Amino acid sequence: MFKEDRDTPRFQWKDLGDIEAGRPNLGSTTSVAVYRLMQYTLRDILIARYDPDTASEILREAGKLAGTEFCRNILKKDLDFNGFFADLQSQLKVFGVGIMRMEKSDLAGLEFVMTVSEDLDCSGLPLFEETVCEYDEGFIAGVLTVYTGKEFLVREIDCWASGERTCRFTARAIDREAA
Amino acid sequence: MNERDSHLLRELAQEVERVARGDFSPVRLSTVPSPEVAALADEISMLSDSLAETREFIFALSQGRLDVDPPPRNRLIAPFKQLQANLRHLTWQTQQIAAGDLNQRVDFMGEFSVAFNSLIQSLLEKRLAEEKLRYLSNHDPLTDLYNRGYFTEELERVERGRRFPVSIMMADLDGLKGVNDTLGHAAGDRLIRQAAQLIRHAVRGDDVVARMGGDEFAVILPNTDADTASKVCDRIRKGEAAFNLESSSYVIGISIGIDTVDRGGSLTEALKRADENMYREKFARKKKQESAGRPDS
Ligand SMILES: [Zn+2]
Repeated sequence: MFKEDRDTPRFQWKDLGDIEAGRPNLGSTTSVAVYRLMQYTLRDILIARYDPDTASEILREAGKLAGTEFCRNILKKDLDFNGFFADLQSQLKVFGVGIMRMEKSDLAGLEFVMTVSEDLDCSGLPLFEETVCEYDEGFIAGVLTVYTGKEFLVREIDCWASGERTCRFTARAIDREAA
Repeated sequence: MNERDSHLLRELAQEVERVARGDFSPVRLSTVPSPEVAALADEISMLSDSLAETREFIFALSQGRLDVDPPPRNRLIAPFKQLQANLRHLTWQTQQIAAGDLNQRVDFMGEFSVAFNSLIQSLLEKRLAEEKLRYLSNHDPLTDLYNRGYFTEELERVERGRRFPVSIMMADLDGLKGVNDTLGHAAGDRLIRQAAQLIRHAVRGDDVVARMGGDEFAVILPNTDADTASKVCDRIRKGEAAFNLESSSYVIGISIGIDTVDRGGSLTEALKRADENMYREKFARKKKQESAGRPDS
C-alpha cells in the first residue's frame, strides 16, 4: 500500500497509523532535529539526483499534500475565516509547527500576508542568502485550498535562513478552481 | 607596524567614533593604506553602510509607519523586524476587532497584551449586555415569544418585503380568567406558557409568533397561502387535543382567526380581519359549548 507505482498522490491522514498505540513508551512527539534531519537530507539527495529547482518543487508539492490532509483531518472548516484562521494558529502551535500570524487579509480578493516565527523548518538555521521553506509554502497553499476551494500561489518572501528572523508568506488565489 | 600604518589606525579609530555618533558618511583615509589596514577600513565601511540603511526603517518604525519594509538581509536589526511583524499583526487584529470579531487576543506584547485583552473583554461584556437588552425589548418575558412592539415593526417589514402571500393568525386563549380565579395566577401563567409553546411548535422557525398581551397571540406567516395557513391551524388543534388528553388540572382552548393577503395587500387590515374571524370563532365555540352543556329537550 505504500510502495505501489502511481501517477497521482495517494497519501491520506490515516496512513500515519495509530501512533499512540505504536509508541506506548516514546509517545507521539519527537525532536525537531530529527524532523530537520529528514527534510534536509532528503533535500540534499533530491538536489544531487535532480537539481535545486526540482528539489524545491518536490518539497512544495509534498507540503501541499500535507497541508491538504492536515486541513481535512485536523481543522474546523465550517467556521468563518477568522475563526478558521484562529483554529489554524492554535493547531500549528499544538503540533509545534510554528507561531503563525496574519498581517494582511483580503477576503474578497483572497490575498493574504502571514508570518511564521519559531518555524519548524528553518528557525535557527545557519544563514544563507535564500529562503528555504518551500515545504511550508505548499502546506499553506494546501490548507487554504481545502478551505476556500480555490488554488493558491504561496511564496515565502522572508525567511529565517535569509536573515529575517521571521518567515513571511504571501498567498494569492489563482484563477482556477481546486481539482 | 610601521609609522604610516599606526597613523592610519589612529585615523580609523576616529572614523569608528564618528560612525558611533551616527555619522555614516564613507570612511576616508589620508594616505593609501597597506592591504591589512585597507581590509579593516572596508569592514568598518560595510558596518557603517549596514547601519546607514537601517536608519530609515527604524525611524519609520518609531513613528508607527509599518509600511516601510526593512532593508533586506540586514542582520543588525533582527529584533526590530520582529517588532514590526508584531505590530503588523496587531494592526490586523485591531482591524478584525473593528469589524466585529471579538475573539482576537494578544499574547506577545507584555503588559500591553494584558491591557488590550481586558479592553476586548469589556467590549465583549458590553456586546452581551446590549444583546440581552435587545432581547428583552423584543420579547415577552413570560413566554419568550416576541412582544407587541416587535410584532408591529415586523408587520411593516414583511409588508414592504416580497414574501407574499402572507397569512396573519390571531389566537385567543379561552377560559384564562376562570383558571386565574379558581387555580390562581401561577396556574394562569402556566396555561399561557403552554399555549405559547403549542403555537410555537405548530409554525416554522422564521414565522413571527408574538404575545400581544394577556391571553392574545398573533402570528405572521410569510410565504403562506390560505390552505397552508389552515394546516397550521390544524396542527394547533392537534396539539391542543393532545395536551387536553394528558392534562388533569385544566384544558387549553384556543380560538383562531386567519386572513391571507397577496402582494400589495395591507397587513394591518389583514390583522383586523383575522381578529374579527377569531372573535367569530370564539363566539361559535361558546355557542357549541353551551348547547353541549344543555340537556336535550
Ligand atoms: Zn523560512
